[in-house]
Amino acid sequence: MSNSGRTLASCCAGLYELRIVEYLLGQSFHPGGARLTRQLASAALVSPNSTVLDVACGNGNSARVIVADFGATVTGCDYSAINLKRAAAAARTARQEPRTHFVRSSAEQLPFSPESFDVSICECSLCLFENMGIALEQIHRVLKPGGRIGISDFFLDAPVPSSLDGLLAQVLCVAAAQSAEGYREALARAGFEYVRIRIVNWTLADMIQRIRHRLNLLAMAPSTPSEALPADWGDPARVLVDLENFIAGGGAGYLIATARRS
Amino acid sequence: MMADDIGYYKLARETFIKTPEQVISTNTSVRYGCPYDCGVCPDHEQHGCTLLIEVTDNCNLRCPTCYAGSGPERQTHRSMNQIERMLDRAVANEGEPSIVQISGGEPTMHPQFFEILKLARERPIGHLMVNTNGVRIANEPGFAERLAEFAPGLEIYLQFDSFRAEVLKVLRATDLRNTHNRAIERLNDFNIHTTLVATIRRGLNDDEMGEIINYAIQQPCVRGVTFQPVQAAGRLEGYESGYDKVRDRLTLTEIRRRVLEQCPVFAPEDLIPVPCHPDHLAMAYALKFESGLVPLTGLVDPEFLIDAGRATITYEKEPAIREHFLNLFSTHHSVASQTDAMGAFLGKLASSPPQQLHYTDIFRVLIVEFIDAHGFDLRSIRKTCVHIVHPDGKRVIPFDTYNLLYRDGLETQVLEPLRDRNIVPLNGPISLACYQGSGGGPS
Repeated sequence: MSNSGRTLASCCAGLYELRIVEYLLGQSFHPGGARLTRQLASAALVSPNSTVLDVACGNGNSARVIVADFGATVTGCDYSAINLKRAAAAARTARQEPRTHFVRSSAEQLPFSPESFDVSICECSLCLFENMGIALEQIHRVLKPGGRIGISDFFLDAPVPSSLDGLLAQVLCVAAAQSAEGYREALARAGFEYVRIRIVNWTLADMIQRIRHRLNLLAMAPSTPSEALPADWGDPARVLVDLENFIAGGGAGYLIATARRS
Repeated sequence: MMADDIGYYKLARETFIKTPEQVISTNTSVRYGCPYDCGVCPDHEQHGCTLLIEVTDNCNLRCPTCYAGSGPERQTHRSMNQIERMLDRAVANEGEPSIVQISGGEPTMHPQFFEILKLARERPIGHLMVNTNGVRIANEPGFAERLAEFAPGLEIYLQFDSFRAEVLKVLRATDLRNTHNRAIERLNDFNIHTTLVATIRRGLNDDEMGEIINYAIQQPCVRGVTFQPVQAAGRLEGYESGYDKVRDRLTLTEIRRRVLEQCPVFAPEDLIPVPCHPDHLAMAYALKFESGLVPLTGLVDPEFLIDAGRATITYEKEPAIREHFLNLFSTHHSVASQTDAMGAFLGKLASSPPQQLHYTDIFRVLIVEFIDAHGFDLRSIRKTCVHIVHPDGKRVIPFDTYNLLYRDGLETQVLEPLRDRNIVPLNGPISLACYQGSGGGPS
């Protein structure tokens, strides 16, 4: 049995250790932030009466947004004990305790009874699970009949150009990304119906703008920071332009997908 | 509570806003302040896209839920003279009214019903609708045939609340299932454009909306379905210890979510605010195929809907918009970027477009939430676009306030005292139902 949480951690945590990366990207690698979480929850028909499972909930940001803005009850699961500790503490601070629960588990072995939830979301992590198919089947199992799944993730519809190899593979974690069609097929294989995919590339445009803005500030700084950019990133300004072109050409992007459990 | 979906409500209030259009001529002046000066007074921010002409108080049913309080015991039919004055008022206010709906009571009970249709036809009215329970269409041989003489351009707004006898008995006091079936059969026979109208009551038939849509798309004559939560006005019987706003009220966003749950072919982006009165009207358009529905609204840029055409409740009747809907299938620019089923579908159509798509292929789902005392919002009241022509032939009054303050005895019993006492609406009862102690009124 593989465990997805570890896969996820090894991919992103290494990068977070670079302070320069944290400076450029902010606290979260999750494109679209709370705005996309709201869009995803709406698309998955989250209502005040919903019980929601957030698979790979990280530090619980999305759970808090969904409780606050939709009035739903959210269970978050994640493999990282540190993440869960942070999530629980933040929920306490936000006085959301009765409406949030956090559970340590891998996505491929969800510790819930069948037909427990109305909605399950999985943001920016599905493509990183070692076995996406098993994770989707698990989500299918714990959703009630008629329940909805909402995922957000990168998609990759063309080979990554060599100029982007370094940045993309590391920061944007697209190495494991599916094609947009791949997500549709995976959802259908797991038993979901009425799959609907929306391209939300504005999330990436926002992210690129933010990085560009911070790079500009960096260039204006009187002294170069002690940590230089990783050598394999090349000229960052140039890489960002290449990245924008690759996305604009349909090579990659960000999507949300929703589907219904039959 | 106004809504239970923050994101959707913001979309309605902030994005889907069309510059309002005023009537050609107003009929009253501002004296007591909104909503005591209807109408149409100069403060009203929207012309009437649908004008109701109530030709009779009489009805062949006595529904426990009836905003007009009609019934067999009420025998008053408007005279032809009066009806002409009402029609002329509609034309004077609107120039060319988009939609005039002959209503009541049960309009088909008027002894000169077909002559009324003729009078309407003689006037510059875009679309003529008849708001009916379908009883005469179902039971009277030849009735549908006579209606068909006014087609095309005539649409039947057919009461259709449920497939369950017990539900129909609660809402209509009668098991109308056979009536529904026979009426639809007749309307199919003559292919008379029909919209099914379901009054939705919480906990009673709010689980049947998907089924109603599925039934509707099987009927060749049916162009769409309209869902209306019960407006707490007029006769509200059949509620245990009276209408209770907490227990019985349904808002538009709750209806919308149920439609999306029960009819999964529609995603949230397909069921959007109608820009002329966005917080109280929601619409979805789809193309009707034998295999089912293909939703359209999610493909249309909101700006197009906001800018194109007149302010209207029935967008598909606007030629520019109808064209746009149909053209989505032949000239859709971003076929390549559409990665969902719709994209594949559009791609297929683009390579071999169907011979001809026309109005009858467009299917409409509409949610109409009329405002009552429990969600009263003056800002929103001023944007209402479904109006009732007062029998005096001098005034045209929003449906919402008409049923709360102006219908029949309400004007003297409820409105006048409020005007005299200068009462702020939400601090006092504004529906007769509250006076009668049926419970649930504002306290």
